[in-house]
Amino acid sequence: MTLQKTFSRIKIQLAAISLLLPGFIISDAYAYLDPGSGSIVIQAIIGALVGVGITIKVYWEKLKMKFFSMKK
Amino acid sequence: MLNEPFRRQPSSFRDPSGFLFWNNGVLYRQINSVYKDEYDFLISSGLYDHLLNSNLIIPHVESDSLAHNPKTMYKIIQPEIIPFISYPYEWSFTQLKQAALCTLEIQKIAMNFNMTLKDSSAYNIQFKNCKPILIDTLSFEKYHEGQPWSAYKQFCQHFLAPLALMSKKDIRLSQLLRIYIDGIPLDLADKLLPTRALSSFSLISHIHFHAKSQKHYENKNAKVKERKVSRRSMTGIIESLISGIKKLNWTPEGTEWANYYDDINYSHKGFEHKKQIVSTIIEKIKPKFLWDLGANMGEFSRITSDKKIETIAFDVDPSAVEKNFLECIKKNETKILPLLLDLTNPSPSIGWNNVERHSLIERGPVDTVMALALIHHLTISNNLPLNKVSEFFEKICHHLIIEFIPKTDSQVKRLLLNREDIFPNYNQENFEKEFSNNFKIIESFNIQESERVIYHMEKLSIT
Repeated sequence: MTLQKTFSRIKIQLAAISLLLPGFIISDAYAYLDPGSGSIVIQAIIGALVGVGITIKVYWEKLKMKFFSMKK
Repeated sequence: MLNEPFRRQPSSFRDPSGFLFWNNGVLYRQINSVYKDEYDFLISSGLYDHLLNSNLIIPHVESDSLAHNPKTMYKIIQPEIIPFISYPYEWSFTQLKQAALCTLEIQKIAMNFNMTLKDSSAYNIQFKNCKPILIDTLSFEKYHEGQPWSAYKQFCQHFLAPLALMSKKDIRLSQLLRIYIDGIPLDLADKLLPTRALSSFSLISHIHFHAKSQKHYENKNAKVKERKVSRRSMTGIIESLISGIKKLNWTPEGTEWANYYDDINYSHKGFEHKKQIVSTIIEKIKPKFLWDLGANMGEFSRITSDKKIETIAFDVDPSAVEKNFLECIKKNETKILPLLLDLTNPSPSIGWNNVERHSLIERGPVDTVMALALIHHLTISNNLPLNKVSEFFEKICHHLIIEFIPKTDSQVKRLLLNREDIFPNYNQENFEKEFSNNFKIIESFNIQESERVIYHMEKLSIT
């Protein structure tokens, strides 16, 4: 598979994840910078991806702990 | 200039939370009433103390100084002064990398105290004792679960994009920061980065897809403010940025001056004598601040920094500056700061109204300038007449320690090897004559076993 095709595939996957993300109103903080629409959206997408990664890591660590404690 | 009453710092105007001002030579920060809750929370939550104990934020004291604008004032604080304000386009690769990691570390800690950085400008980081530190005390706001990081775009533009370009494409691309004051546009970074760079998750996501997303939404009226970024997601983003930045590296090649000390027309004895001369002159001047121009890897800068003199070691070669900074880290040095500077095109005043970031000259004059083995590069390599060089030095210092290198020196011969010698006035007599228009020659020393001469000069207008 060419690199171009890989990127297109990742793009489609990211777009799909972005549609699944829930949205809700955030309370206004005293921010003065324009965070940028595109930057907010990509943050939500990357955040969801790495957030899933962190969750898996946490459960994996818990599972490992459980497994080793059973062995002992 | 510093003794003017109430002079507002020209770079401090974007954030309505407060601003910096000078009052009779003392720097203060006014905190506006609109920022009262956030500032009080910064202090009461313990975040400020935590960052202070970790040497990550500039210390300040609350002051009873008169307000610059009493109508909007909540408090006045007096931050500690940084001896020399430097800018990201003057930093070496590791300096920018350390500043980036410092910003992310602060953001991580802030989130533990339910606060977040509301901006992440590289200009908010300065080097104190050769270590990065946040100088904008008003950079924090309360964190609300679900809110995206409003400084994310700025972080990617100010830190990630330049570091990626320096690491993956060319070290000299750091100079784009001089053109783009709010960081390198991500679409530009994306275009310049080689395709192989995008194999990294952090670069493909935080630069490539980030740039695509910006492009996609630039002309759309989409309301995306409601998008949720959970605390776990936010932590993941910060960790991903930290990991991505830690993986970016750059190894300095042999410096432009790598073999310089092997080919300098003077023996080991002469070299040691040169060090001794510099040390003797420094003992007489006893400066508090010194700029070493053309410092290479800081061999002579360390003579002054070891004497507890705040020393800025400027050089045009990114490899020399990087190696010098790595040496500072290794030896845990605090009085020397290596910086990148092309003396023939020194940092200009940039930004709004041309006053946001100061030029090199505006950040002077300094007690003492040291210009060792430099004059021939300015005069012969860059066709700068001696009187122009002298006039420039007069603007930036009170005392000058300068080395004259005659045409018989191998270094000068090398510069003239393949070009016509159009410098009939480049000789010691003329050098002294031209510099005497701006300086009084206090002393001169012939370096043993060499034809080079070191001068101690003092600016005429102060003698």
